[in-house]
Amino acid sequence: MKKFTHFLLRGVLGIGVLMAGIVLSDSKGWFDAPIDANPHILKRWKALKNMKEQGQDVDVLILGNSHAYTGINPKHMSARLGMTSFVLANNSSIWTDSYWTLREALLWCTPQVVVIETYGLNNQGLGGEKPVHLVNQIRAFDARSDLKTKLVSTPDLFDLEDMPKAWSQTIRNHHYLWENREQIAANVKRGTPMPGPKVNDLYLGRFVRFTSGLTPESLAAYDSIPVPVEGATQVVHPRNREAARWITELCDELGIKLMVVTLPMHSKHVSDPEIWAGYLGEVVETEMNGAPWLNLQIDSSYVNNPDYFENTLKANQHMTFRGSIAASKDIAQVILDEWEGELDRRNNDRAWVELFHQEDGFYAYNIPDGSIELEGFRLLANEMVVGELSILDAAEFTNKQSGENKFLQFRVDATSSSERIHSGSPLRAQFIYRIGKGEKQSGVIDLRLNPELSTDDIFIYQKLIVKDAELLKLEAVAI
Amino acid sequence: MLFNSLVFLAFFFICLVLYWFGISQHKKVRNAFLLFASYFFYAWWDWRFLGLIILSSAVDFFIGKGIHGTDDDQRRKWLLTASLVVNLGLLAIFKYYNFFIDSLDAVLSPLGASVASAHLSIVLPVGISFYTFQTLSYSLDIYRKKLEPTKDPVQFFAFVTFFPQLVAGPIERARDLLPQFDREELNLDIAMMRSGLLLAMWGMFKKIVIADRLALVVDAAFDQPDGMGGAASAWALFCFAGQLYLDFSAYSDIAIGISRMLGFKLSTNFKRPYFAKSFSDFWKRWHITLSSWFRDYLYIPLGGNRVSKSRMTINVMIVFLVSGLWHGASWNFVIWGALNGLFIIVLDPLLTKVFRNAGRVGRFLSAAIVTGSWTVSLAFFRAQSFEDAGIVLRQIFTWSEVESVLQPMSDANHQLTCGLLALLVVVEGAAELRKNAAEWLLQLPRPMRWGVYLSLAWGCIMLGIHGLQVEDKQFIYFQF
Repeated sequence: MKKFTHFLLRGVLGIGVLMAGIVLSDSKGWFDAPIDANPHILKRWKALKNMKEQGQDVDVLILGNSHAYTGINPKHMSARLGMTSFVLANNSSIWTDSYWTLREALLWCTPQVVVIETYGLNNQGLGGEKPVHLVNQIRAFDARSDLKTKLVSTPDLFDLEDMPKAWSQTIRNHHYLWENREQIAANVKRGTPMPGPKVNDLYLGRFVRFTSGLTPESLAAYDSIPVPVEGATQVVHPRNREAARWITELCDELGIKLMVVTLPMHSKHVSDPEIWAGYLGEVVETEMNGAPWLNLQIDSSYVNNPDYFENTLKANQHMTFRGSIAASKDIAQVILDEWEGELDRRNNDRAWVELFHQEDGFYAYNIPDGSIELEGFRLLANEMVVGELSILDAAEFTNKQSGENKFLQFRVDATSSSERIHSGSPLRAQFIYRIGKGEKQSGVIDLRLNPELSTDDIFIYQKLIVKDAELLKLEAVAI
Repeated sequence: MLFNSLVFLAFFFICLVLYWFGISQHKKVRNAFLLFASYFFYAWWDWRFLGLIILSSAVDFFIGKGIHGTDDDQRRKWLLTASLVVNLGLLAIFKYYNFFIDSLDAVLSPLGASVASAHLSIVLPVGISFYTFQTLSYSLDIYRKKLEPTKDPVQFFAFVTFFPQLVAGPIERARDLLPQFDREELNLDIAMMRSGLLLAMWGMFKKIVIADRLALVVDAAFDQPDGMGGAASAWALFCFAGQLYLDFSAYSDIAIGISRMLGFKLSTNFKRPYFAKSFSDFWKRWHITLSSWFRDYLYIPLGGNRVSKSRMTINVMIVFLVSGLWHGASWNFVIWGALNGLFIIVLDPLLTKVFRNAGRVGRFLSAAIVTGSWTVSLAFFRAQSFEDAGIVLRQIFTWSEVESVLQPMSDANHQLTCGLLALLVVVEGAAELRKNAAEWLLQLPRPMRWGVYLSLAWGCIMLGIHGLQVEDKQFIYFQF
C-alpha cells in the first residue's frame, strides 16, 4: 500500500505539472482565439457590468438564445415599460445555460422581471448537436467571469469530456500549433489574454441581424420543400425541464416575476405549432407554476407576416427588426397587464429619461410633460379633438435613428378609431412651416401608421421630415 | 467507455485506487470487484447487451463443467456443439444475419424474389466477436483436455469480461488469463506498474496523436473516393495502413498497460508487423491473439501443414476467408481475407526464393513488398463498398498533382504528420533491433523517465486530434 501511495503521489505530481503548464499558458493567453468580429456575447456581460458601475440597474432581464437577441428589442421594450430591459441571451443557449446565466447576472443586477424565450427548452441536452452547440455553449461560458458560479455550473453545462475545453483556451485551441501559428505568435508577443470588447454606447444586448423579411420567392419555395421545423418533434429535453424548475424556484426565492415567451417563425416554416405549444405549455404549467406565457407562434398576426421573419428556409428562422419591435411591444403589454401595479417604473425618473430619450421607440410611449427639458424634442400639440379623432399629442424629435432628419409623430387615441384608421390610411396634417430661413408656407404632411409601435390604446403615426423644417402652426388634421 | 476519454480515465483512476487500497488482497473480493467494474464499463455503452455477455459466459461455464465431468464422448460432443451453437448463434444473429439476408436478396432479386423485408434493425453489440472467441476457446480447450474448468463462477465471469481487453482484445486463452484470477495474494509490483503506465501512455499517444491525425487524410479520401487523384489515393491508403496499425495496436497497448497496472499480464498482440519479411511472418506479428486462435481452433483441426499441398492451400484460404468475415459482415472483408490468403499462398514462396540470400537489403525489400501488398488489400477493408474500393485502387493509377495529397490538412499539420511517422519508424525500428525498448526506457534515471511520461502526456494534450470541431474518435476495431 505504501508503494502504491508513493506511485499515486508521483502521478498526482505529474498531473499537477501538466495543469500548471496549462494554467500558465491560459494566463498568458498564448492560445487565445482571434478577436471575434462581433463579440456580442462578451459585449452583453461587459455592458451589464458597466451599468452596475454607473449605478444603473436592469429591471427586465431577457434570457434565451439567438431568437431572443434578434427577436426582442430591449430599447423598445424599455421605452414601452419605462423600465430598463436587457437581453442576456447566448447563441444556441439551452435553459440549463440560461439558468446559470441568470445566476451570474444576479451578481450584477436586481431585475424585477425575468423573461425567458422557449426555443432553448426543446430537445437539446448538454452540448446539443455537437460540435456547433458545444462551440456556442463554450462561448457563453467563456464570457462569464465569476469563477465560483462558473465552477459550480460546469457539471450542469458540460460532459466530462468537454470540461477541459470549456475551461482552457490552451486545450480548446491547441490545434493552432498546426493551423494558426500566426495567432500563437501574436498572442505570445502580446503576453496577456485577449482584451475584451469596448462598450461605449447604451448597449442592451440586442443584435440586429435581419432587416428585411421573407421574399415572395422564398414564400413560394416553401411549397416545394419539407417544412423546416416540425413542431411535433420539438420534444422538451429532460435537462431543460429541470432547468425550468430551477429558474422558477430561483425567481420565486428572490421575488422576481417570471414570464415565458415563444417567439415565432413564419407559419409556412413550422408544422403542428399547436402540438409544439402543448409540449411547452405542459412545462410552463407543471414546472413553472403557470407563469404568464405569450406564445406568438400561434398568433396569426405574426406568423403570416413575411416582413417579420428572416429570409431563410433553414430550420432556424429569426425575427427581423420590424418583427422584434412588434414582439417587444406585446411582451411589454403582458408584463403591464400582469403586474402593472407591482412594478417600480422609471419613466418619471429624470436620469432614466435622459439615458433613454435618444433611443429608438422612446417617444412612442413617453411624452415628457414639460418638467424635463430634452434636447431635440418639441411638443407641437396635445389633447386635441378633431372631428372623430382624439389626438393625444403631436411632437417632433430627433434621436439616434433620425440622422440628418427629424421625426414628426402623432399619437392618436385608439378608442376613438374609425374604419379608416384601422385600414392604415395616412394621417394628413396641415402645417404652416418654413424651411431654414425661407418663406412661411402651408403644406400637408402624410404620416404613416406604424403598426409595430402602435398598441391597442394608441395609434402612432410617424414621418421623417427634414431637420431644417420649422413647424410653426398645426392647422388641420385628417385621416 | 472509450480508453481515449476522460470518463475512462476517471473510471480507471477510481478502480486503481480502490483496487490497491485493499481490494487486491482478497481473491474473492478482487474478482467480484473486477467483474463489477467490467460490467459497469460495458454497460456504459448499452446495459441491455450485458445480458448477452452473461448468457455467453454462463453457457460456457456450465458446459465447461459438463464436458469435464463426463467421459462419454458422445455427451462431450453434444455439449461442445451446444456451446458452439449458442456462441456462434449469437454472433450469427447480431453480426451476420443482415449480411446473409442482403446477400440472399442480391441473389434472388434477379429472379424476381426478395427477402429484403426480413432485414432486421439490429445494433452490433460492442466486442461480441472478441468475447465470443474468448469463451469459445475455454470450452474447446476443456474438450481437448488441455484445460481444467474453474469451479468459481465469479472468476470465470471476470475472465470473460475483464474490462481492459473486453471489447477489442487481446483475445486471451483461459489457460493464460484464468490462473491470474486464481491468485490468493496479489502484491503490487512497482516495475510492472511503471511498465504498464508507460505502455498505456504510449498507446494513448499513438491513438490520439498519430492514428487520429492520419484519419483526417483517410476519412477525407474515402468519403469521396472518386474525387482523388493517384497521389492522393496512394497517400490515403498508406495513411490508412498506418492508422489501422496504430489505432489497433494502441488499443492493445493500453489494454496490456492498464492490465499490468492491475497486476495482470495479457498476451502480446502486435510485434511491429510492418517489419515482417513474409506474409506468414506478418500474421505472426499482426493481431497475434486472433491469428493464433484461428491457427489453433481452425487451421490445425483442418489438418494444418500435415496435409497435401493442395489441401493446405485450401486450409489457408478457409482460414483467411473466415478471418475476413470475422472482421466484418460484408463482401469487402471476405475479399480482403481472400487477398491475404492469396498473398501467403502465392507471394510468400516467391519472396523466400528471391530474397533468401539477399541480406539486409533483401529483408528490407521483402518487408516493403509485404507492407505494400497488405496496404493494397486494405482498400477493401476501409472502403464502404466494393465499388468504392475499386475506385480507390483505380485512382492510384491516374495522374494528379502531388500537392493534391495535402488538401485535407494544413502544411504544418502535414509536416507534423510526417515527423510523427518518422518518429514512429525510429521507435519501432529501435524496438525491432533492441527487442525491448520499453525495458531500456524504464531503466533510465528517474528525471529522464519522468521526461518521457510528461512528453507523452503533453503530446496527447497539445498535438492530439481533439477539440471543438472534432467528434470523439472510436477505435476502429470496436466495430468488429
